Amino acid sequence: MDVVESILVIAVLVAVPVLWGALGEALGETAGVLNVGVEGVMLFGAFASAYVAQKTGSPYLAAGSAIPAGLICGVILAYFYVYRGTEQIVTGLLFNMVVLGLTTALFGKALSGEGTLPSLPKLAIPLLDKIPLAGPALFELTLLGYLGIVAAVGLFWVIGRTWLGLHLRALGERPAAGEAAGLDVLRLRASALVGGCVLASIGGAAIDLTVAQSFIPNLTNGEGFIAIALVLIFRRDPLWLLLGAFLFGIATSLQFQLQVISALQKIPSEVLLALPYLATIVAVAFSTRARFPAAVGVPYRRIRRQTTTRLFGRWFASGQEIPESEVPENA
Amino acid sequence: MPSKRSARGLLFALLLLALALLIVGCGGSSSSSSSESTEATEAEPETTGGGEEAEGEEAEEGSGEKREKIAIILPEPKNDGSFAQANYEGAMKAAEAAGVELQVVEPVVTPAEFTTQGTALAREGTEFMLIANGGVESAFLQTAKQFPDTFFCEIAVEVKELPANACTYTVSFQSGTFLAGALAGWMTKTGKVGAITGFGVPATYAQTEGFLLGAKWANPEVEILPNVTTGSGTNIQQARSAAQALISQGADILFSAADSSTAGMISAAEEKPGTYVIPQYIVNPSWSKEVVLTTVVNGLSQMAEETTMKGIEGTISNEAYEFPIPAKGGILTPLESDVPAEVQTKVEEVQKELSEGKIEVPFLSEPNTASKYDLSKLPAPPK
Repeated sequence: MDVVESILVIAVLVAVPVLWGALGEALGETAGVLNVGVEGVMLFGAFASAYVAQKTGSPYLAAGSAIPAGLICGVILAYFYVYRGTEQIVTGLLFNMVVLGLTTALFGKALSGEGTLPSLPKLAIPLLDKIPLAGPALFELTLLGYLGIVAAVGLFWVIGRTWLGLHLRALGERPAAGEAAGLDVLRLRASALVGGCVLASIGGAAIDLTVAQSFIPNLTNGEGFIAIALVLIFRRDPLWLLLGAFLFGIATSLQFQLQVISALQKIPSEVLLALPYLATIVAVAFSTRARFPAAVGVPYRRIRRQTTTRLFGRWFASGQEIPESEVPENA
Repeated sequence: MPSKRSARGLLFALLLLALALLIVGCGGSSSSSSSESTEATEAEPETTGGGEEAEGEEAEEGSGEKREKIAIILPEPKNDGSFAQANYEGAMKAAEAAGVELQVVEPVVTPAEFTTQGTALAREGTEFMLIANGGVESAFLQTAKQFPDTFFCEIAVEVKELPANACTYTVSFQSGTFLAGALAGWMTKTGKVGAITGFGVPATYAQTEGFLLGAKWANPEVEILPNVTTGSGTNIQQARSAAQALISQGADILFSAADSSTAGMISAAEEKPGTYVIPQYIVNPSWSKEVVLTTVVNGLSQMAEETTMKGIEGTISNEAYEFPIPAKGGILTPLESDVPAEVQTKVEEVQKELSEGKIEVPFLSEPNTASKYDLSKLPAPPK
């Protein structure tokens, strides 16, 4: 395989899980929820898919199992972030710790030493996969690779071109205005968060079903945090996230290709290893216009008593009326 | 004054924290015991005069009293399919044979983590502690000095002054990887071999450079590609990307000092037929036999078993135990059938010479030093 072709193939391979994680994070942030727990969600999705892959031998069933795994994570996080109104960064970090501990403990009981996991086969698009250099990288992807691109385009359309997207964006900026317009803020935020967790969980599955073909504790190794950084840099735009994930993949791929070049042997490997992270930090530093939506990370409290008992409200909504003096600034 | 709601939020955050700590704690420590007996191994380690090195400390001959409370501290989960598992299996075998309980604490990576866990174990009355993590030397020595009633033994570290209740155990890892390198040198079809280092520390660089040196020594025509470091023993994606980089440069045999992340190298090799990976420490059944040329086991499990048994029997003393290279078998396991008989014979010859000390493999602790090493310092390879 040609060196350039190899760089591109690895870049796409690495980009796919990060892309799914970033799309999930973007969906939540658009609605005003900063999900720092995306790393844990990806790890849980990776574990669930590895477990199903091992038990059934089917990589497709395994990929599908990431959906209920994401739903479970989403419901738990929605309870804390949205309905309990806990501090989102602290809750997210704690959630990551819980998932790391849980999957490490379960790994010993349920997964280790059970052989290589089945991987998703590559689906080549005839003729296009023969294009020199880019063909194998872009037109010989796994199902999750193609679906990631479709999800990015689909999310771009939903957020930017539909009423639902408009409502979600409104909740991210001024949730009180959304509520005044008749939106059920908590329910919509919870739904966006759960949807985002499903996407991120699929990203976790992509790691063990396309890259690793196995599961080990802490398999995600910080990919969720890279996803959060990309979402900040590219302002939650799913199409830019597509590019951002690919660029991160290129940087990851380059850190090893550069080590193989004899002329660069004098550069310490640590410097080259830091390349993708340095690139991300530099990008954040130059993204002076990048910002979170105004209400992101701020728990929303209802101004008026709500009688909604649908979906989560039935179980979780306290329905308490908040005095005017305690109405948060963002309202 | 905080509202009732925020107080409840705080309570939930605290509950979540407690749950997190509980689960992490549950995942981190376990104990196993068995009374099944297994055969003890026979190879005796050489000691490099720990008593001499232990300046100011008198070498102890060992109490001879059986120790019942023993523990092993691992840098990764005990079922990592690599370094930690090899050590765990050896220690467990000894515990089973002696009928004592083995407390397992994992993963303990940093010196701070070791201080916490080691102190807790010593306070609980642990009598012997095997530390299968060569990166916690200072914490190991400090804790050993604090708890003279517990005997501590750490793998693969060089200590100038061993306390009376501490020892080290190791094997010449670079000799085993040198042998694997020689095999690679004779087996490569593309004429290029590469090596991947996980954590870039002197001990792991010595392994990868030992491999590259062995390949160059066995076959001077071989091009050894630069040593690639991933910075992690667990990041499978990084290992896969690194392997892909070497494969794209033409390497068809890759050596791994990347612990459990070797799985990523295996995945990359599977995509390019004719590419082989040589992992270390333990024959991992999870990894495809199609691409694993051989595994450099280096007798690691056996070493952990013997050291633990000495600890249990109370015959261990404050010495630096260096286990010998066996004259036959026990290093490269198994040698796959697609290795020609002629090459297998040459590998056996080299192993014998390593065992007899005729070949002394240098400890190259810096990356990319094998390519500059003067091969005339080594005896000629077998024809």
